[in-house]
Amino acid sequence: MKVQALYFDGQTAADRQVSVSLDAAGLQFSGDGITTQTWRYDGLGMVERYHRAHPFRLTHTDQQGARLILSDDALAQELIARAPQLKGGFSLKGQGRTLAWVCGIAGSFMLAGYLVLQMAPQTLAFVLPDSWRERVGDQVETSLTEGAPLCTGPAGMSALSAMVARLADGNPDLPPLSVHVYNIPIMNAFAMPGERIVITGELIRRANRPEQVAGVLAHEVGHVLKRHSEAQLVRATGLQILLSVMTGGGGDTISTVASVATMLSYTREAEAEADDAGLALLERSAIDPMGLKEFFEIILAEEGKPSTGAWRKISSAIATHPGTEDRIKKIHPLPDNIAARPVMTGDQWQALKKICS
Amino acid sequence: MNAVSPPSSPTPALAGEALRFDYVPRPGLFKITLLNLVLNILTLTIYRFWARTNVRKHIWSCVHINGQPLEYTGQGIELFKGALVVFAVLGLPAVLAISFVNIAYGPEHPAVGGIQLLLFLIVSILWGAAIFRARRYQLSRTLWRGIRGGLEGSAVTYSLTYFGAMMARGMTLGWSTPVMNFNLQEQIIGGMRFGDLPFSFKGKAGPLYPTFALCWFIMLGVIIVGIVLLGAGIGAALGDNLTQIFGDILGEQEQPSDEQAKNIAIVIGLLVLMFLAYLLIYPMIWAIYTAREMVLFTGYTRLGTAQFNLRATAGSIIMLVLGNFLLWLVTLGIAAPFIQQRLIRYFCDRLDVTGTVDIDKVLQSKAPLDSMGEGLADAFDVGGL
Ligand SMILES: [Zn+2]
Repeated sequence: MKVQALYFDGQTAADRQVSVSLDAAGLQFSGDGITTQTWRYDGLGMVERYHRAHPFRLTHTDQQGARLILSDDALAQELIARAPQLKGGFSLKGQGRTLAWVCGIAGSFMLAGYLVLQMAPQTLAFVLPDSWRERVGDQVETSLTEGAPLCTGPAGMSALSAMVARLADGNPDLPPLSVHVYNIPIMNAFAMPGERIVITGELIRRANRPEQVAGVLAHEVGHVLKRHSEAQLVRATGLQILLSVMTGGGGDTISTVASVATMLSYTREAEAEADDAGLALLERSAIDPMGLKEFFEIILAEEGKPSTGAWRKISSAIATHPGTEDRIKKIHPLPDNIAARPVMTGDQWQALKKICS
Repeated sequence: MNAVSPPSSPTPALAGEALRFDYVPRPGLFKITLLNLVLNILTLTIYRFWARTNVRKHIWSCVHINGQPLEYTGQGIELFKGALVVFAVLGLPAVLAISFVNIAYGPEHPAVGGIQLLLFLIVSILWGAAIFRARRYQLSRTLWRGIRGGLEGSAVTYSLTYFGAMMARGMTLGWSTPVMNFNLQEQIIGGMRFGDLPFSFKGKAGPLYPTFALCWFIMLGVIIVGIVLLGAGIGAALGDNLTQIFGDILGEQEQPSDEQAKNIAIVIGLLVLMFLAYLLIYPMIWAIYTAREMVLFTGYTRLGTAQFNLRATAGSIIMLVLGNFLLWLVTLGIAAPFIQQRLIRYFCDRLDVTGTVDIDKVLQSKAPLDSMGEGLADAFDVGGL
């Protein structure tokens, strides 16, 4: 079977009529001024998949740029039978390779992402210079509290200092802490970069005894000691860099670093770590840990209530404190050989309760 | 490789062929668009290089010149490599520097502004190079009758010209635009090749000026009328309160009264309305100039002895751009391949060629193929095809 086809040799733009036939060695063609030439079947490729009644454009690995255009359907089908790679559709050699590339690239980005987001932050958190942590902490505190009034009742402030000092007397290694109370109508507490802790006025109002506040404070100090918020800062920055690398967007990246709520919501593991560290602090200071337990029970009663209003962003952070019930189970009374000592006097407690008024 | 003997019966009477451009649409673009969307999402946009390649393959193959389709031979991996290099050299250091300064000194520190200004300058200077290199890559991956295109010339020269054109435009209130656009187009068209056959660009920028002046003065008139109308509108709406209101706005009083707040809202509303009207009128007026420029520049373009003519009109350009904008808006940008198709189709439908090209004599391009493509263009999101 010999049929006419159009041939471009890849050297000149001239089109040439050739007659094509198929034999055992390959696709053979010759024409006016073109000596007989054979394209091996295994080197054949196509510009596009074969469609009935459409010109079938062939390429060959031995001849860059050369094109043979078949318009004869019978020959094209016969050829596809002999050179199965021309069938098209999904093939491992064609799309498979592209897919492998894309998946490989996406995979390496994800691996890099995993390393950046899981391994690096906790390590880097301990090498960040103090001045950076201090400045970022200041920024986070400002943007988290969004202009809410800082509670500065003098008697309450000294009661708060007494509580911090009480926690420190069993734990002489404790770094100097900055603990602020803000009049925010949401029950929560936050640890921030640079040994900062913010407690909401609502939390103090809702607490029934000083041990509950001390328990929460110890938990937040646990976050501080483990530098969880610094790690979150590194993580958020790393995520932004990674995303901008992947999507090709450069430029303005950090403007949105740390939407504060995401930055201060921790993983289950981090919370467990903070709980453990906090409970250890309480035990060494001989403070009744059941206060923390009682506080968790108050949270549990709150959970499921939809939050509204301007502080919704913050209250969503409390909802992400995961598995409150499990955490309650881990809290046990002080061992028998340690006698709990009070956190503060009754007068101090009354003063602390009024710190925001 | 077989020896190619010259055609035995040359036809000296006909020193070549006339050229005819057709856009021959075929199904498949919708499927490509959909598949690209899905894979882009699944791979967190990394598939975009392959997606872009698939779209080009389709659209190129719809462009027929004298019955033979164009063929796009680019590969996604080439685009990816290009983007990776640019990001390693430019993007990553920039992102790291900004992140570092932000964390170390805070977002209000002057160093942040300094770095951003520096980045802006670098990007501005490299913008032209991005355009030039993207064009060169695309041409070198475009095959017709087995022969590939090319772009000669210097990306650096082009980039500097481009940067200069941006500066000059600002300094001359736009009046440098025709002559600078001419210069830029001359570098692109003059550097274009089909195989070993060069395109040429011969003409003058002068004939652009009457149309430019027309558009410029219409625009000036529109702005003046707008300001007068705005003033009249504010005056009518507020009457005697006017001076007081400006006093309020400038004085930044702590708590404006309800009435004052209402008046300020009216002023701001009018300003916004004016701005929106401007956004609509501006491109329509300048479409007159754009059409003139496209017609003239295409007329200056030659390949061999063939001369190109584009039947572009302001009306058709407005319709094209408006249609594309709506398409983009309605589909949230997903229909980008169809927007690209509409652009190419516009040119194919309106392009005429007079004179002939001796196609059979054109030899394959000897320019080396760069293995990476369009890195800068991807990084800067340079528009185009
Ligand atoms: Zn916590």
